[in-house]
This record gives sequence, C-alpha cells and structure tokens, in this order.
Amino acid sequence: MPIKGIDMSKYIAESEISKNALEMATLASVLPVHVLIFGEVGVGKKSLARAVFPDAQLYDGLQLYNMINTSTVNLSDIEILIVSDIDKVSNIKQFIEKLEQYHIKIIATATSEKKSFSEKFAVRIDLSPLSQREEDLLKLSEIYLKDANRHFGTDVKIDVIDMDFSKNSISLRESIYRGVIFDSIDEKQLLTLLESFLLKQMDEKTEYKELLKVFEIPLIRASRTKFKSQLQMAKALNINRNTLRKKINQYNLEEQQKYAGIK
Amino acid sequence: MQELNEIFAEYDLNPFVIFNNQGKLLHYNQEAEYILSFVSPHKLYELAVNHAPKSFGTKRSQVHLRYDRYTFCALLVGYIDDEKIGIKLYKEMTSVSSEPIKGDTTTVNLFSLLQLSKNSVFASRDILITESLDPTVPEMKLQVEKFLKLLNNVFMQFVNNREIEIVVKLKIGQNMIVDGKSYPICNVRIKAISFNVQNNNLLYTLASEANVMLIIKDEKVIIEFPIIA
Repeated sequence: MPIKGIDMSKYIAESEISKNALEMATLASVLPVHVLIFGEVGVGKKSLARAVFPDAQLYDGLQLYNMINTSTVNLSDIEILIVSDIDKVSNIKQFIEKLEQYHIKIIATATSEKKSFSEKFAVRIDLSPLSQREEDLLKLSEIYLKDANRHFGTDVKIDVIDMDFSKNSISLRESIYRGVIFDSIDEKQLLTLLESFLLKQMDEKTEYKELLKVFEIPLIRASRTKFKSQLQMAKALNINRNTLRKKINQYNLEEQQKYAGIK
Repeated sequence: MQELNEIFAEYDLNPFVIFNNQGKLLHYNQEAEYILSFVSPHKLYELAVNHAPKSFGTKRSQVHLRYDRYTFCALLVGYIDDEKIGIKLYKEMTSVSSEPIKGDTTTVNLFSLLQLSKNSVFASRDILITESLDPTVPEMKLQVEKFLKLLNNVFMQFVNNREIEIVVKLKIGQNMIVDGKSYPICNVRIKAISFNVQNNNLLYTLASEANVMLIIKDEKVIIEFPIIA
C-alpha cells in the first residue's frame, strides 16, 4: 500500500540550498532520468519530491521491494514513483531494474550512501541539514509555532522555546510543540502531570528522597536563572547556603545544562 | 602520374608517415597531416623507433594510444635501409554512430543538463565556476541519462579545484556526418588547473555509451557531439 497520512506540508524553499534543490528537481522532472534526493532524516526529502511530483505515489523502499518479490503490487499503470529510504533495500540495482521493466521514473530518497547510486541515478540532489539552512529553519519554526499555538489555543512566542534541530524538522517540531505546552501549562495541569509521572515511577522500592529531584532540580535551576548567585538563591528560598550547595553538587548542577543531560 | 599503391596510401583513413634517420618528415598522407596538427613529428618518430623491428622489414604492434579525439589500436613500423623509417597508425573505429537519432534520445536543452550536473556535483563545494555559454546552441537530441552520467563523472574529476571554466560553443566551420547527413558540432569544454587522471578509462567508456566524443588534453576535458534537432 502506498504511504498515506504523512505530513507533506509544502516544501520550504527560503534558503539558497533549498531553492537550488527545488530548481534541480523541477529541471529533472521533465527528463527521462531517475532522481535521488539525499540527506539526513527530517531535511525535507519527501516534501521536495511531493512538491515536484504531487501526483506520484509514495512507497517505502523496503516494503515495495518485498511487495514486488511477492507479486503483491501492480506496477503496470505507474509512471512515476516516490520511493523513500531506498538505501534500506538490500539489492538496489535489482530493485531499480525491476521498476525499469515497467518504464517507471523513480524519485528516491536516502539517508546513507550506497555504491550503486552513481550508476543508477543520473541526478542527485543533496539536501543539507537545517542547521546549514538558517532561512528555512526560521520559516519552519514560524509554521510549527503557529500550528502549535492554534492547536493549543495559546500565544507562545518563539524566544521562550528551547529549539532542538538535531534531527532537523522532526526534532524541531517536537521541541516547539513541547515548548508551547510547557509555557502554557497552569498549576493544576502541572500537578496532574506530575502526579501521573510519579505514579509511573512508583514501585515498592521507590523512596521519597529519590523522587524529590523532580521538584528540587527545576526549583534550583529556576532560582538560579532568577537570582543568579547562590547567596541570593539561598536567601530567597530561605534555606541554608550549605544545604543549597550540597544539593547543587548532588544533582550535578554546577554548570547550566538541559534536563536531558540529568541522570 | 601516381601509382595505385601511392593513391591508396595517400587516401588511407589511417595516418602514415615516413621519417629520415634524423627524425625529419619525408612523407605523410592526408590523414597524417591532420594528426600532425596535434601530435608533434618528434613524438611520432620516437614511437616508430620504439616499435621498430630488430632487423629490416616490418613489425606490427598492438597498442592503445590516444591523441586528441582518436584512439589507435595498432602500429605498423618498417624500414628497408638505414635512411628511412615508416609508421602507420591504425584507428580504433569508435566514432559517433547513428545512435543519437535513434533509441532512447530526448530533445533537451543542453544548458539544463549542465545546470543539473553542475549542481549535483559542485553544490556543496566552494568552487568558483565561470561559464561562457553560447546562447545560439539549440535544443538537441541526446541520450539524456547517459550524457548526464558522463557529465557528472567529468565534473567529479575537477572537484579538487578552486576554479573551473565551462565553455559551450558551436564549432565554426566543422560538421559531423551522421547517417549521411551533415550536422553542426557542439563543443563543451571544462577546464581547470588540475584534473584527476585516474578515471580516464571510465570517462571514455561513459562517452562511448552516450555516443559523444571525449577529448582529454592537459587539464581540460572536451565533449563533442552533433547537434541533431
């Protein structure tokens, strides 16, 4: 079955790199050649393919390979196919040659390099990570933030969100949605969330002390952001400086770090 | 009045040259006259001496030589005295066939193919590309996939350069005969300071598959093909 339900939001072409990729794909669309779109996960390979070939069916490479081998797919009426993750297919040459028997033009996407690519694809489009496409990153962030605000009925601004684009658009969207939720959550929702979290953590061996970090770490980090020095923090929180110092060491909070790094 | 054997030698498709024992040209046929425009007589003389028989007579050798657009597959060298030595080079016949107007050809804009290939290979590299493209080059029939693969591989040989020059022009005053018809010639030249000579054989194979002529000279690659509309 062709893949459906994937978010094929309009291809973002704000940076020189993505404009160039779009131009290449458009040029290649009228030529009798296979096209390879190469890049990391979440850089927009499928969106680009969809932007240029909106009517082409999209298949997962490995799934299609298996369907061909088991004769459970009818390829006779297909002219153009978008094949995602073709690098996961074990025998790419044989796979492409099979599709060529039906005179199908292949638009393939891949995240890892394979020897057969240069032999089988006359056109190769490299899409760089979002970290190298500042304009696209900005535009995508705006789109995701607008979506998230509309979805949750909020008005969160971009500057309060800790954006993560390590996995390009995938982690970017996730971090923006998370940021919007975090910023808009009220005390009652937070307590419910915390309760649900603590419930999952609890078993017969769970100690009070062990779970205390869930409260103490955010408290220390927030107070440091607010009051800067440990002296001021201790004063405002009304605890002994030595106690505060001990807790900072205990949770390894000497340097500012993200929650993901805390064990 | 020329003897018949002299007429045959004169109009032979294979170049034939006679030198004296000092390497001076004494006689050459029409085809050799053309070859001598891009190979020095000294080079051909050395080739003859190196492949000469040990004693009077002739010796045939299998070789693989490439001068400009021509590949030679054999040599015949001979002498009957100490004064003169003759050499005949046998061409490998891999010229453009009638393929470009048959089979899987598509009428395309050459500049689009250049743009695609250039972007495929150089997009992520910091290379200054200067182009001189003759806008009068019309759309033409090409074996697109094979031609693109050749272009990609040619460009790959230049990736270690900071600057590359690409020139596309019509060859003035020259035509190519395909299936008895005369067509203008398109000349694509890619030039840089250094060129990776490791993959020449691959390039010649790809050019042959794409049915175009490939000339590798110094630090430039020239691709020539008939403009068949």
